[in-house]
Amino acid sequence: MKKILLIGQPNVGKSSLLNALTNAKVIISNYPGTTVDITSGKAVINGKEFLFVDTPGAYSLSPSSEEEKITDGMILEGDYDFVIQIVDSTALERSFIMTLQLIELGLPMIVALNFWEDAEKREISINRSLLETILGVPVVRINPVKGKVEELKNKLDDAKTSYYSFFYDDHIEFMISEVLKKMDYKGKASKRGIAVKLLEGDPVALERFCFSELEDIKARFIKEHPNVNKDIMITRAGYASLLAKRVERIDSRGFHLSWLDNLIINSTVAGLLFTLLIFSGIFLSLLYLGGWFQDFLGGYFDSLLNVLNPWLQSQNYFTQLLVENALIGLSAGISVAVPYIGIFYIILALLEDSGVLTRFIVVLDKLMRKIGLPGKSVIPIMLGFGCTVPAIRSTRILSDFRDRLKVAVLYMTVPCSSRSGIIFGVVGHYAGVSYAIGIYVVSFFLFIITAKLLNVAISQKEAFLIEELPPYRKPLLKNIMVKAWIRMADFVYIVLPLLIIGGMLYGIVSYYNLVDVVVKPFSFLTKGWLNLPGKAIIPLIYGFLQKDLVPAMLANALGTSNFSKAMNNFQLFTFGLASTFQMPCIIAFFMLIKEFKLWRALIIEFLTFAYGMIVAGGLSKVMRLFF
Amino acid sequence: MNWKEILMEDILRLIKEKKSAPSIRDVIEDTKVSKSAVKETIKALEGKKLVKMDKGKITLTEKGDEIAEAIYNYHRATEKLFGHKVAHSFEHMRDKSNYLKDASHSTPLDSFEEEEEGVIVGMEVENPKVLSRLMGIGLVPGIKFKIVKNSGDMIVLNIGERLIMVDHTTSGRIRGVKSYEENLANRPA
Repeated sequence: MKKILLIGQPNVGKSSLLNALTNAKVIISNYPGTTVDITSGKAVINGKEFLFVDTPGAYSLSPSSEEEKITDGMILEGDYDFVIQIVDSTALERSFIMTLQLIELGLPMIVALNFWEDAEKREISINRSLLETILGVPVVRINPVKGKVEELKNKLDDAKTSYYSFFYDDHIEFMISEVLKKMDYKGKASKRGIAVKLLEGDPVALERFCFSELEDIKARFIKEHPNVNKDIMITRAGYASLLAKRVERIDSRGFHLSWLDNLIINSTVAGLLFTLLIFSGIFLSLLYLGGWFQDFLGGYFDSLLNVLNPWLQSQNYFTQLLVENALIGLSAGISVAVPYIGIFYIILALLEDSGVLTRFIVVLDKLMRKIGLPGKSVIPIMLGFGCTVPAIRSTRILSDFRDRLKVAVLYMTVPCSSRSGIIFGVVGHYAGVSYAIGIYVVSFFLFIITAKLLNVAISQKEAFLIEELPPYRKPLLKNIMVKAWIRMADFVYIVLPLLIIGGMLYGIVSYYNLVDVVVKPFSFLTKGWLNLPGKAIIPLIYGFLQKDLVPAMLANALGTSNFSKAMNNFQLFTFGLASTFQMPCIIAFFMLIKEFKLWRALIIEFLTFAYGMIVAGGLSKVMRLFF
Repeated sequence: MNWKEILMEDILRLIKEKKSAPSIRDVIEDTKVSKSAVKETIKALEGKKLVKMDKGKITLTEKGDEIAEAIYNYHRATEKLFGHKVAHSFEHMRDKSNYLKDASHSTPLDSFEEEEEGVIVGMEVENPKVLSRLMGIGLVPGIKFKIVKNSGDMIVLNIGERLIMVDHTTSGRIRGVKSYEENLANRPA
């Protein structure tokens, strides 16, 4: 079986191609040692088996972000047969930088031109056969969104190493030959390619193939090339530009803007209105669609419990508690979390694939900067409304570590779908919608205040923002579903089992009557400070394990699922606040450790718990003064 | 542009580059062109009253100096932008000449007004991460742009119908010149 890497710039259609080649039968795996998801899929084409592996979108093989490092690493690792570079036909010049890097590394490859119909529409004509002749590798046209990948399929056996060669100026060439003399490399890539990467200061190459004399070689030419990495990059970009000029002819040099961009980018007010519209759209679909699914699935589980009931009664009390609570856990996961998370991720994929998501960066940049965050952090923060766990991972798109840390702390004020489940299911349902909205309003202000406070604690450094606003494209339902599923898979495979285990744990706690042991020491917090029933500590603590189960645990702890009986509206509101502004759950905690190290994760956990309790209690005391 | 014109430009540039006036031999060494071709071209330049021979050395006339100055500046600009190796191929491409000659009068991108069009002629970016991102996203020297938004905190550029946003600090390090209408008529074939 041949293994093939799909590589290309962001939004160039890599995942669409993967879906088209494998008929959307993709599997998700973790890139070893990291938390980046890699999708891949097998397919039998013309009687042969192939494994296609998607790589994170990269602007070039000179990494400028953590994700680009992964792509660079996968290329340098050499665990594949050949590479398919997907090229955006409407932006040849910039894609060719990566093409030249692949050529330089001497890798067998195929160039696949995507969006060539768009290019034709914009009067860009590409001389495909000339490009093929110049490079000596197959150049095919694809349209994966329409399923047109035949040309590529027929060339899968023809991947070749390019014979195109290009040179840097004499001094750099001399440096390359010096590096080649000292370098010890055996692998898939060409020695010259690796030598250039080392001189360029490629972090991945340095980590793997650095040798002691490298700096000496650089130092010897410090006069001619004080900044050899820049000179290499610039020369390569120059060749890419020349190559593009040879094979393409651009007849339109207009600067057209789509009507939507005209509206939202040129006018701040329209931009903000548009953002508000989309955000309320998300909120409403979560509230109504999510609620509908919740009722539907919840009813299904109730009837399942009823069916099981006769059998359960015949078991001993311990088994009864165990099975019942495990089922409650499963039911909470499937009927509360899955609908909210699922709907959110589908909407998110829709926004992403259509190109709308990045527009929020432009619209909200000013606001984000005012609170000391880069405009780009809009995206990981939005992801936080889904589930904090993948959201923490997504902070990787921010280039500065401090910004990533700030956003990770701020997730405590961004209600994830599990916490939204509590807000809707407990507060909204029993105290009224206005109380639920009240919690969102509080979180918005708390978000801003916390961000401001964090600016004092974590010093600021200006990070660069160089981002493309991809052209609007009609999203393909299949791709959206695959994308949403990829994001949800973690949740389903990791969180659901945890929910079941968590449910059983609670069963054990109540079997051995351990509830009081936990409740008493905390009554100063619940009764004294938050003014809640003492037993409310159980669901609050349980929130650390799994926030989806908080409503069910509250019902268990209070002995009724009609919360209005046990708590008044203010208490419900306080409970909502206390469980919303909480420490990240255990899975998020592990993700925090992975991304930010144990000590930072521990600090985040304890500080956010204390902070959340202070805010919730403080607000309930203030409210008491007024009402 | 035929080889003769290219050689003419190269000779003029060379005289400007060298500290002392070059001999025919120097020109042959530098351009790696045959002696007869060099002699023929110098004759043609003399005919145009751009250079004169003075004791076996080639010197520029007043008119020649003016033209050579422009060619020299242009060469420096292309070399800085595209690297020495590619500069030669680039500098004889007619479409770029007009604005590259103005490269010394460039202004940072954040000083451009909204709706203004221009060409990127220089980058003072040292951070390799920023540089590779800029190039990968298509913000390379010689590219035409139109400013869509300049909010003070960031700018949004239109490059070949692609929208790119660049933060304030970075945009201040990229330099451009305003493009003129006549450039549009001189596209590469």
